[in-house]
Amino acid sequence: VTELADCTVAELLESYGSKTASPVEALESCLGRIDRLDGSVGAVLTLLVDRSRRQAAESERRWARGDARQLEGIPYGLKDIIGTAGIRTTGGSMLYAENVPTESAALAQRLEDAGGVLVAKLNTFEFAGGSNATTSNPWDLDRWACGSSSGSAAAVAAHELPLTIGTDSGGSIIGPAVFCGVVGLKPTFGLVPRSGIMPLSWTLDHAGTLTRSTLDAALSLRVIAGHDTRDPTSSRHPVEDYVGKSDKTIEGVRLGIPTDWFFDLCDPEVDSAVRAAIAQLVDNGATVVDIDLPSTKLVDLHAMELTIFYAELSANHEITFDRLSEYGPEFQRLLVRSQFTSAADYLQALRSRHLVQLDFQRAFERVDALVVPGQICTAPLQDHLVARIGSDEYPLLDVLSRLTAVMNIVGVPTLSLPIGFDSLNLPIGMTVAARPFDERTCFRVGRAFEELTDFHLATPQLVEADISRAHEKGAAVSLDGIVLNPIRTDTKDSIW
Amino acid sequence: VKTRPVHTEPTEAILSAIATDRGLTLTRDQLLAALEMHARFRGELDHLRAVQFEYLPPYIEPATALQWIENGGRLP
Repeated sequence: VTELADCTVAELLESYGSKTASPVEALESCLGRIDRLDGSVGAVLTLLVDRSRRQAAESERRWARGDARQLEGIPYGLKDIIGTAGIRTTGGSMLYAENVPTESAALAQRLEDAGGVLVAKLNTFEFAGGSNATTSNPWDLDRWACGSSSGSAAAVAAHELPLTIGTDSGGSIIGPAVFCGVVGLKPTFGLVPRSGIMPLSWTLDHAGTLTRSTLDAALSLRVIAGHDTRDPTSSRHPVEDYVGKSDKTIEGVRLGIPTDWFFDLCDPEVDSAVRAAIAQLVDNGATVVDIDLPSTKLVDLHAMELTIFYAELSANHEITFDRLSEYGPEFQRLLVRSQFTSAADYLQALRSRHLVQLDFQRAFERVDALVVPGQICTAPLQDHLVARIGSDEYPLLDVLSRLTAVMNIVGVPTLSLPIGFDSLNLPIGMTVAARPFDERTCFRVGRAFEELTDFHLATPQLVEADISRAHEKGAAVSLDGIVLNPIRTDTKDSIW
Repeated sequence: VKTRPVHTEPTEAILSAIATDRGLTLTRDQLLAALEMHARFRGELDHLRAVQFEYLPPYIEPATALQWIENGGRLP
């Protein structure tokens, strides 16, 4: 670590506490990184320079007074479908380019109340459902960052911010986290309230974190989790101290490896890396059990996901369907197609969810966690959006959410973490899933793996080069008080 | 849970009728693009449609999934 922007949340809090760094210095380091790199990465939609400087100064005073809050002085960013009072919240769409909410989303308010420093609103696929490819993958700028939380993942991977919030309806946190080589957390459905977040699909929408360590995900979850009356699906389950109770050892943890679905279609390099990661955990005390998931053959998971998604998306955008031409081209196709989803199919999909849940219930009677590939492949090229499985290519839409959407359907918590690289030096990820509200087990597996390996510490060459450049030139930052980058809904290639 | 074979095919006429019934004004290109997307996934949708839920208990409603989650991964 050579810059404060390269520190994790936990490292920054420790530095503030020991007075070896300050929130103002950390913010300036992040602003400098954004200033130098984001023109290439494209993670930031709205940059709040003056506002974040005021917040960081207040955090510095609080640390000096000894009344620092849980995330005091931590720079963070929000996917731009998350409402922020007084700050434009566009949904990544021209339709809401001028939208300035009067009230913040529940989780945004909680981060602010915990002392977090909001630095930027981040790029997103249009309403978390299009597929605009304007954010680049920091590991290879010609490659896709995935989505829809593309800006959230890329900002963390490029060391622009240590913490960002994304949302996930079929893999929109886990997918970009895997492709960008960061840690993604999709908590249990209902644990983090969605109030104030632009909806995509009520049944499938989750909000969660993107960070550079599992510990950071745990530190952040305890701030954003908890019941909120404005979200009708918000859980009343108590919020735990995910950090204090989190164990870093894997000894005695029972891991389940699905024999159905999850490894059926998977790039050989990804398959090998995931099995090697599991072997490493076994070598250090975990046990493994093969798990069958027969419902994955009985019901079609992809049809279930898309039917729920289309039906709810159609309802959500009914009010602006007569402004169809104002949506981006990808979302237009999606919205027109969604109009033809029948109520019978929608209800069939909603009822079928429980059949898959019963498989998971049986699995969790035998194991503590399931471990599966984070994605079936590594990041594709932006102008050739296909999933490459060995020497075969598959249309992304057909397979992209294959391993992730099932977790949204079931509602269990999932944590994805970097576990290796392919032959092109692109990140590979593994996902850990546990019982509803057992995020602690996900964190335990993640922290244990990070104790054993250093894949989560790997830095994109883009960042390595920037660290050298910043040292040569100094870190002076001259940004406007607020930077409003243009909303783009065009694509280099299409998946819909 | 039982299953039955289901084989259906979306057509332009069906989509056009639905659009008319719902009062949607779409161009033919938009309709054909939607048809292409529907046709591509019809096999998967038919697979989902094939599942037959029992009329008698235990009942599985849309809300059952939410209850399962809230109760920590099992039904009360």
